[in-house]
Amino acid sequence: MEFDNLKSNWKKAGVGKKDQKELLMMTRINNHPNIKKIRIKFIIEAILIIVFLVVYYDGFDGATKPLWANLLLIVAAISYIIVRFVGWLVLRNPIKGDNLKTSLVNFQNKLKRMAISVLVTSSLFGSAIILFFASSIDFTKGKYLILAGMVLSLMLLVYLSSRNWFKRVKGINTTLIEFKDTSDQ
Amino acid sequence: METAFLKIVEENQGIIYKVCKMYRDTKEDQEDLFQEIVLQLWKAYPKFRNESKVSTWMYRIALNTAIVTFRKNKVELEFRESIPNKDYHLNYSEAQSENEERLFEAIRTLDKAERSLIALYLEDYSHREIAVITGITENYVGVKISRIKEKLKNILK
Repeated sequence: MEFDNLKSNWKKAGVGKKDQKELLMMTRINNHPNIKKIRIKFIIEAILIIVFLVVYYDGFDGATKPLWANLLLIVAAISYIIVRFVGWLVLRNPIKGDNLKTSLVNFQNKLKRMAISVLVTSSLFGSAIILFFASSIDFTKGKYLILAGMVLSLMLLVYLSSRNWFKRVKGINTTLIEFKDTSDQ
Repeated sequence: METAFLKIVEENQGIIYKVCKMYRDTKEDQEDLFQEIVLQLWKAYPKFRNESKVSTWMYRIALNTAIVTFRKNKVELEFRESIPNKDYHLNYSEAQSENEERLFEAIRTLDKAERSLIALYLEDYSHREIAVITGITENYVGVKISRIKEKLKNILK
């Protein structure tokens, strides 16, 4: 195919075949398998954390732990759920701006804030759980080793949960660099 | 509002189809992106004031959605039990289908920003209009389009 034929081939391409009924289905979020999956994941996570908050006090002897450990655990769990809910909303509404570049910059800023918030709340929630259980323990050498293992696992989990957000930020940044005007450099 | 929206999208769905073919290479990913673009158009529709052409508005939303959404992290091979029938390529002749595939394969070798610029250029938008849609300067649109045309000439020769 010659370059000159590019435009004519472009014009010929893309004859639509979806009818209005199919298009209508696509305007309903419940018919989007990917969005549904993300929503179900969030709901399951939120339910598990709420159940944990309801039962932890009796189930894990909350009364015997210091007040600060109890409060830290509750605040960390709630902020963990809120940040993930906000994250879901951010991903659902990626277009904010009158042109492509502005929209990408706005979305990238939101993603950056989300990536940091996910990092902070995951660390906070993980640390709160460890501190809660460690707050009334008489430490021995073996227990210190277990604690170290838990901290390492926490670091790995925090990295995994925020990795996708930072990957998204990087992806948008690459496109913004591609759009960057280099003609006057 | 819903009826008017569906009519617009049905009449201009070729735009969505082309954007999906430019930004995704498997049929499943293209279908997912098509759905996502229709949803984003529906969400943006209440703010659409007819100040710009329908096609301009659709291109802006479709390109934006294609750039910011991420494909699933999996590599899939498409196995078919038989040779695709003619409907697979929307009733095109085989030669047209082949040309179309080559065209989109060539475009997919460009980076994401370049793909959006060449799509608007091929759709006969002026440099000024492309600048308004993308947010880069008119002069730079000209520079970029020349570079992209050179790249495509090398790929297609």
